[in-house]
Amino acid sequence: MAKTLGSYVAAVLIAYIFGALFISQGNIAAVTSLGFDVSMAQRLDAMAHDITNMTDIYLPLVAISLLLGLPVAFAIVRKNPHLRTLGYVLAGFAALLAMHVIMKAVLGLSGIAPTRSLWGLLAQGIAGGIGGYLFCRLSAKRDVL
Amino acid sequence: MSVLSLSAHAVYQLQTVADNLNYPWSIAFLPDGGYLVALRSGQVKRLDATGQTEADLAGLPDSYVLSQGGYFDITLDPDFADNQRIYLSLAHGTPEANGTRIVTGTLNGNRVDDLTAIFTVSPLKDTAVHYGGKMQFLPDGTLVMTTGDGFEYREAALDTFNLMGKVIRINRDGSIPPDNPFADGAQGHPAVWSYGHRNPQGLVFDPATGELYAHEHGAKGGDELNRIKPGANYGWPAVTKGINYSGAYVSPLRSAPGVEEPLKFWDPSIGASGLAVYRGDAFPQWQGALFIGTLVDSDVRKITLANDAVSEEILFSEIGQRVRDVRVGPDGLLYILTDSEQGKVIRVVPEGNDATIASNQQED
Repeated sequence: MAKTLGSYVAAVLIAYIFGALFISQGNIAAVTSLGFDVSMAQRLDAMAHDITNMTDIYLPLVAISLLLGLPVAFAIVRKNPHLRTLGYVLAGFAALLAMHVIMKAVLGLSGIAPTRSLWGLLAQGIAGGIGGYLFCRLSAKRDVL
Repeated sequence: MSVLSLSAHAVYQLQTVADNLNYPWSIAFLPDGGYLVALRSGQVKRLDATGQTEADLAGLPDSYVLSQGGYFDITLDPDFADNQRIYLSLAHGTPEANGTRIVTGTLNGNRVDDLTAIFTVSPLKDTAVHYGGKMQFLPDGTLVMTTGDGFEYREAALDTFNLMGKVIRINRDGSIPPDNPFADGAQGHPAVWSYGHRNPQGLVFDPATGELYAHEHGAKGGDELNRIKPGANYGWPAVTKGINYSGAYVSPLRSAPGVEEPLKFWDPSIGASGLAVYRGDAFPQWQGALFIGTLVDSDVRKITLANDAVSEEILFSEIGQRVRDVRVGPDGLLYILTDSEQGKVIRVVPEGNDATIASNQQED
């Protein structure tokens, strides 16, 4: 149980970090597309800022999404162990993707600006997929030598 | 009885002129002492000089009333005494395609005749937020209005060919003045006066200085007060001092060459709404000050500009309600509109002022 919980926490954190980084880069891409220069120092500052300042809303949303998504994968993987990695990766991917799609449907607005584009939305899915992959690895039973 | 309050520099009373107004958004002052109050719910109330409702004006158009959409600003023609024309900004359209529109017509008793739409922001959008909608006549008789970025279309604010996220300037018949900065259409839409705005909901011209001021809502942070110059870029969304609701930067750029710096910004946002410049006689100590209502902090900010120094004083927090609009009436008194289903028109009068209100009105 503790191992599963720890794996979940790690999955949430890694998905959050990658998700925040993708949001940072999406926002910066929008700024540069408007003809403004953004230096490497400003990019790094933005990434550090966003990772440390999105904990109020975005982090809980990532946590809830994976809390809902990973058990679904667990139910599937239990009966299909050969799909374990794929199952958790897809579950993480779908969980974060669904979070943004549902937010847009409920609010009528995109809470995270880069998700207005397909690439921005897919990037969020990738962040979730990374979280799912980490959960898969950390929660796996170790081989006994 | 009125509440007597002492601010740092003025003793004043707050008098409720009218109440039970469904989200009043703006107010216009009629020559007979009455008022026109535009409600976001899509009505204009005509009040008499005592604040009693005479009627809902007939003849006005349907509005797209949803979320932030509805009726916005109402103003009188500079030659109203001769032509009785009024101007109303409103959300027009459908959920799939809506935008800010200006209509004008002739006030004839309690109805508006000869209604004409003279300007509609394009392109239309599919969100029900960020309309701008504040109007102001300039001394040359042209009309300027703020427009919002529609939230989902924030990059449009920097597209000079797109009318979202702008201050626009038109003639009273909707035609384009030939001296607009992009009048030839080569570098932008001919109606654009300034660009790079998010959701400006305060606009006022100071006749004493000739300056046009606007403020705009930031996201979680970044409300701005700006001095508006023709053809100038105010940066949104590439340059902003605020952050997004998610906590992330909107942009890492807080300033940039060619982008106007705000006179003042607020982080976190105060929900700036309504803007007035005081040039009346009732409060000599307020001469030249700007007044900004706040939706988030439920007060009014008195902004004093002295050369490059900007000072701020918080006033009227005893009202305890979201403030949608602040105006200076022709009587030199300050008027405050509160933002609720039971919204009020509150008049600020100096202590000892003999301004009277009807005995059957509630007072704060």
